[in-house]
Amino acid sequence: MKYLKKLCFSGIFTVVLCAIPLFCFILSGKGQATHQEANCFILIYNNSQLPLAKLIFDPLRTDWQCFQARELSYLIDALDARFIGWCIKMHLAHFYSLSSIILLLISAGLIHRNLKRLFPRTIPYLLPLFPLLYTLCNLENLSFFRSSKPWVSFGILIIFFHLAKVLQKPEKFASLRTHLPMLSTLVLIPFFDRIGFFAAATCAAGTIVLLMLSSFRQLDRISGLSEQHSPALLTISIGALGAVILSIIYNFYIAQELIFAFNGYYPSYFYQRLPENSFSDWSSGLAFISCNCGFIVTSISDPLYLEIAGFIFILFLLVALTAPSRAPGTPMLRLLIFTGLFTAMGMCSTLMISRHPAIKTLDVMFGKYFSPFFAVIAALFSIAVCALRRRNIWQKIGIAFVVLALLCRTLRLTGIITTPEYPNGSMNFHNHSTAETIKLLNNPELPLTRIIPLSSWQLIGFFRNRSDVFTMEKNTYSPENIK
Amino acid sequence: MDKDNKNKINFKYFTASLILAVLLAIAGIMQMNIPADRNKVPPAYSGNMLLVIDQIGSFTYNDPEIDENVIIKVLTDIGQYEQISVWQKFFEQRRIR
Repeated sequence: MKYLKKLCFSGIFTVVLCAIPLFCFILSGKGQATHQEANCFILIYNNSQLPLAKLIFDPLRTDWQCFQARELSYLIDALDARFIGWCIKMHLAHFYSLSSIILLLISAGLIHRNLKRLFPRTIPYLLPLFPLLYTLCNLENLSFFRSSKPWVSFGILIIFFHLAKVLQKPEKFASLRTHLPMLSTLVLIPFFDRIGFFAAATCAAGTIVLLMLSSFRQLDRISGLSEQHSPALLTISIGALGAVILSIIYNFYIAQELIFAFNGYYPSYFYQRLPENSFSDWSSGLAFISCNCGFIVTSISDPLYLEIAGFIFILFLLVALTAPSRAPGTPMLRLLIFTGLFTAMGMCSTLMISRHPAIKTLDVMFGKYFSPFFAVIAALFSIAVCALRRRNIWQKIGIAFVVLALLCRTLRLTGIITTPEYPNGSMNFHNHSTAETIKLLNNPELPLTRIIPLSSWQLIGFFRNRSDVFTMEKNTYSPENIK
Repeated sequence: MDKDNKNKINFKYFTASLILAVLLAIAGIMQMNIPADRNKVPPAYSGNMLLVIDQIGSFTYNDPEIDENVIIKVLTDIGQYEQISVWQKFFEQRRIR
């Protein structure tokens, strides 16, 4: 028993525990599919004729003209795509994103390490459970598409746990050096995705409010923030604000020049101009959050049940976080943070949906779009449950939620719980033809006799050295290119 | 009384938080003032066409009403002659069924 407890405290054990379902999933070939856009990205990034910088600073190809100043994620995409290209050449074709796999394991270790540091006296068995839940819930997001959301999720985990540690023991964060990993994350995440920019802005706004609260001495008892917190909060808020300003300067000034220097055109900002009345569909934003929360716990896809389950889960989070516990801050402060975070997530999802309405459809809703929000919810959930004292009724309910979520997700991943097929396939992933595409890529002699999506056909042509079909420089499909 | 009031607020951090809040608001206004496009971007690469065609392909799997002529014309337009025969077989089988 003691040995088992020791094992639960071991980060290596947790990472191995998370790696087992991950590698079983990958070895069974699940969780990967070709996608029309992803196929194009593989072709684009494997073009050895063009320098990498020219490929990355080209939103016409990497984002279909929808410039979003997330070039750092294109760099990771390029590495992922080149790894896929290398594997195809070795006749080991697959469509997994290597960076997402590595990041998922690191995230599992990160959650375990931070929970252990924050709550060394918690029930040991809880420590590996949360990283395992995080891993299982992200297993279906490993297919190569874009690396932006997984990297932002990882950054959010770093920022969130760092803030929790600062609130719990501010005296340990007196020097600037102790904030460096978190500050560098803050500076980098806006370059991965627009959600990263939103996360940095939320962090700046949140820490400024906390800094203001810490300066009121008479609020000590209510907020739990003292003068000891102020220097650390000041450092983080300056860092977050700096990250926001740097991102704006890059987005509006530097990126334009870089794109012009490498590709001879200036990007269009049409995609960044939000439609009028962007917040009018706020109910869809809230439904997106609650349905996904319900999906974490139940893994079913009926919208009505999901919203109910999600609402119950969010209510539980609120009660567990505001109950007396070892969690950082006072219950009142935690209520403030909870309200702030859910308001920010609601706003962000509403804006996301107003820009890209397909997100609110069931076949897209549970994909990578939710992963940054899931990182916040996973961190909140793990802190809420681990911080509660033993034998607390809310901790027991929390453990029941974790066990239920793990069980349902396992049933879903093993195919015992199935979700309905959506008319166009999930996010237009080619679920039905991926196996055929892999077979054709691994065996260059195999004739193409079945219907497969044109982008997959193009991919096969590219790796069978049919460069005459797909001329990368022109990127066109004209009859003259077919011999 | 005055001394007590002074001690109730740490003005150094309070002022710092106010300045940061103003700067964040300015950054928010900056972010909302998205610059105008500097010049016309070149027309989309016909790589984008591939996406459109691919979507037509995805719909076709599930849509029995899809017009054969549309698919064949699009495939001809983009020079996917090898695919035409594959699709023609598909439509042939559908007619037999």
